[in-house]
Amino acid sequence: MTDDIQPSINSPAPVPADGSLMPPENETDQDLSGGVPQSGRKSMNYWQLVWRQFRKNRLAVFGMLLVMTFIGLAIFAPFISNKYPYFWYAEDEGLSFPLLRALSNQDLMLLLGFAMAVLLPVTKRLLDKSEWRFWNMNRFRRALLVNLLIFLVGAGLISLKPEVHRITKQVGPIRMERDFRFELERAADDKDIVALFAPVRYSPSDIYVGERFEEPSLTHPLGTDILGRSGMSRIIYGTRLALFVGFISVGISTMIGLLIGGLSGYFSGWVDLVLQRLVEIFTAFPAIFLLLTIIALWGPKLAVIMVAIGLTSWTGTARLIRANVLQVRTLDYVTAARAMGARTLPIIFKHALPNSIAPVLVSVSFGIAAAVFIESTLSFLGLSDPDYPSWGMLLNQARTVSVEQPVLLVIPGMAIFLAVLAYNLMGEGLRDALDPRMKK
Amino acid sequence: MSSELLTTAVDPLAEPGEKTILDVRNLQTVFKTDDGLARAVDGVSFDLRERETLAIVGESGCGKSVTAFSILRLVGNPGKVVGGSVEFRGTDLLKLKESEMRRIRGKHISMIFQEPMTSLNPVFTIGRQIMEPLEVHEKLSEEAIERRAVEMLKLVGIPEAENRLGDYPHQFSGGMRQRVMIAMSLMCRPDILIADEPTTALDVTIQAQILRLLRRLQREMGMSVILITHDLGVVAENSHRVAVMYAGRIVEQATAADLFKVPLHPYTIGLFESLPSMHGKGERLRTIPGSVPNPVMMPSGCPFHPRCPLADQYCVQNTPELVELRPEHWVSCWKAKRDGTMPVRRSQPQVVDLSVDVKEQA
Repeated sequence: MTDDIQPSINSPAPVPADGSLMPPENETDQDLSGGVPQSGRKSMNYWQLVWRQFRKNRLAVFGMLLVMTFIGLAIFAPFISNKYPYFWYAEDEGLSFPLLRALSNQDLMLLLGFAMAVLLPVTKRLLDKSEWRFWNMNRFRRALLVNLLIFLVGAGLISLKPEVHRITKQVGPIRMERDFRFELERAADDKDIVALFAPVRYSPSDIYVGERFEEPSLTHPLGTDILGRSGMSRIIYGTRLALFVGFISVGISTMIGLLIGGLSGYFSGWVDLVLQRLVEIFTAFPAIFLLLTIIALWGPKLAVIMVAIGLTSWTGTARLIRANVLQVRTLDYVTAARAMGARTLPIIFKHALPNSIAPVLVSVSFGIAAAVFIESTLSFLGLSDPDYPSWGMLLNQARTVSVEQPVLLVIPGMAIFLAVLAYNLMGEGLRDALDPRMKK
Repeated sequence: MSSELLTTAVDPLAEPGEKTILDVRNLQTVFKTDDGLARAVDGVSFDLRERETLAIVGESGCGKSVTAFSILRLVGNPGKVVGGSVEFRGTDLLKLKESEMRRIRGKHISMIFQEPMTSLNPVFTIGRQIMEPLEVHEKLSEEAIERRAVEMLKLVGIPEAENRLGDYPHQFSGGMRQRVMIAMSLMCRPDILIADEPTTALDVTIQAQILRLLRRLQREMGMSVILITHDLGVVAENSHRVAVMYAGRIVEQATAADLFKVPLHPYTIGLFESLPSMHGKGERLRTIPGSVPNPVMMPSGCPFHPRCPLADQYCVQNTPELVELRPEHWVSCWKAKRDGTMPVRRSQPQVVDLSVDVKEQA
C-alpha cells in the first residue's frame, strides 16, 4: 500500500498537432492518487461493524443466547430426553447403543444440518487451500455452497434409511418393545448391567396412563400430562416444533414478501398499484380467521399450519421491501446498472434487494416471534398436529388441572414467553445495529 | 500492460473525424407534472463526430442531463421522450426494442455519473461491479474478464489493481471511485462515453486529474465523448465543440475555440461575464438577472427574452431558430451579429476603480 506503485501507460501520447484547445497532455495524472489512504484490508466489512454494534446491546446478546439455547434444545432434544439409554451393556447381549439406533430420520437430518453449519469454517479453510473456483463466488459463499450440497446429499441418503421406530425383543411368541428403564430396575443382582440414560428418561410420546397428572418429581421434573407423558420431555420437544414452525413459515412469508415487494417497488406504476391492493386485502383480512379456515379445510397437519402462517404474514415484509426498493431504485448505482445494459430482473435481485436485506433480517426476527406466538395460539385452540408436542397444546391440556398443578400451566407459558421475548430482543438489537446512522 | 487494450483502437491519436457517429435531431422529452407538461428537452439537435468531445453546458435544470438520459433511453417515469430521433451509426435508438437498446447501453454508449459516492453499489466488491458490463455483453471466460478488469483499473490509475478487486466501494475515496466508475464504463470499449458532470462532486485537484484521465483515455481508445458540465473552465480545456443549452434548447453551438473567442448569444455572453476574471480588479461579479424559466410555463418567443438585455417585442413573439452565423458556429438569437457585436450591451464592462474614488475625495 504505497504511493509509488503506479500503472505505467505504454502509449507515448504525444501532443496533438492541431489547433484544438486541449492543452498538451502530461502523463502525471495519477500522481496524486497514491495519497488516498488505503484503508483496504484493515477496515472491517459491513457485518463485522454490525456485530460490533450488536454486541454492545446486552439485552440483544441475551436474546441471542436464548435463541441459541432454544436451537440447541431443538437439535439435541433426543439426547436430552429419551427413553432409550445412550449405551446399554449387559453380559448376555453385549454393548449396544439403543438411543443412536432409534434416532429418527428427522433427528439425523437436524444433526447433519447442525454439523454442516458448525463445520463451515473448516470447509472454508480447506477450500481456500485448493484451487477450485465456483464462478466468482466469494470464499464464504463457496464454503456455504459446498456444505449445503453435502447436507442435501446426506439428507437424501438419510431419507432412504428405514426408520427404526422402536427397539424390540422377542418375548415368547411376540415381539415387544424393550423397556430399558424397567429392565434396569428389575435386573437381578447377579446380572451385570451398565447403562447411561439421558437426563430425562422419557420420550415425549410415551404414554403411562397410570402416571397421569403427577406432581413434579425427580423422574418427571415437570410432572406429567393428561396421558401420563413426561412434561419435561414434551417441553423440550416442543422447542422443535416452535422453532420449526417459526423458521419455515417466516421463510415462506419472507419469500412471498421479497417477491411481491421487490416487483412492486421496482416497477411501480400499475404493477405497484395492483400488488399493493393485494397487500391491502390480505392486511384487512383478520389473519386468525384465515388460519382457522385453511386448517379447517386441510386438517391440522404440520405442513398446512406452517404454510398457512406463512401465507397470512407476508404483508409487512412486502411493504418493507417495497419501500426499500422504491428508495434504492432512484439511487445512482441502479441507474448506472441500467446505463450499462443490465436487465431488469437481475437489477432487482442483484442491486435493489441486497440493499434491502438488513431491514428484512429484522423483520424475520420479529416474524419468528410472531409465528411462534400464532402457532401456540392455534395449538392452544386445539388446532395443532397431534403428532408433535407443542407448547400451546401443553398449555391447553394443563388448563384442566390448573388449580392442582399450576406448574404444568406455568412452564409451557414461560417457554412461549421466553421464545417470543428472545426473538424480539434479538430483532431489536439487530434493528439498532443495522441502523445506517451507526457509528464506527 | 495496457497494450492489449490499446492495439485494437483506430489510430488513437487521430483528430476528431468527419464522420458523424451520433446524430440527435429535434429531441423532445417531457415530464408530466401536476402543473402540466414540463418540456425538459425541447427540440435539441446536435451531432457527435468520431473521436470528438462535445461539451454540453448550461445552468442547473436546463435539460443537459435529461438530454443524456434521453439518448440512452433511461428517462424514467414521469418523463418520456416524445419526439425526434437519435441516430447512432444510422440506427434510430428511439425506435429500437428495449432488448436491442440494452445491447447498445454499456457496450456502444456508456455513461458515468455525477456522484461517484452513490454510483457504485455498496454491497458488492468493485471487482464484481466492474466485471458486470462484460458479463452482460460479451461471452468471455471468467479469467479473461478479470484480466480485463485489472487492466482497466490500472489504466484509470488505481494502484495495486489486482489486490483491490475484492475491496468494497467504501474503501475507496471519491476520486478513486470515479476512476472505478470510468473503468466500469469503459470495460466494453464503448464508441461513445457520456460523462454527466463527472467532476462536480470532486474537489478541484481531483477534478483536474479525472478530466486529464478522461482526455487521455479518449485519445487512446478513440472514442467520442459527450461531456456534460456547467463549468466553462472544464469546457475550454476538454472539448472540441460546445453546445450551450438554455431552457431545454441549444441556443448556441460552436467549436470551443470560436465560442470562447466570439460568443454570439446573449446568454453565452452573460455566462462568460459571470465568470470571475483575473484581470479586472475591484469589479463586482456580474450575474445574469432573473432565473431559468419554469419548464411548465415557457415564455413565448425566445425563451431567453425575459432575462435578455436586448430583447424587444419581436423576441417576445417569435422563436428564433439555430442559424449558422459563422462557419461551424450556430446560434439562435434574433439579435446576434456575425462578428459578435451586439447592438446594445447593457452589461458593458464598467470598471469601478475604487482607488481613484478615494484619491479624488482626498
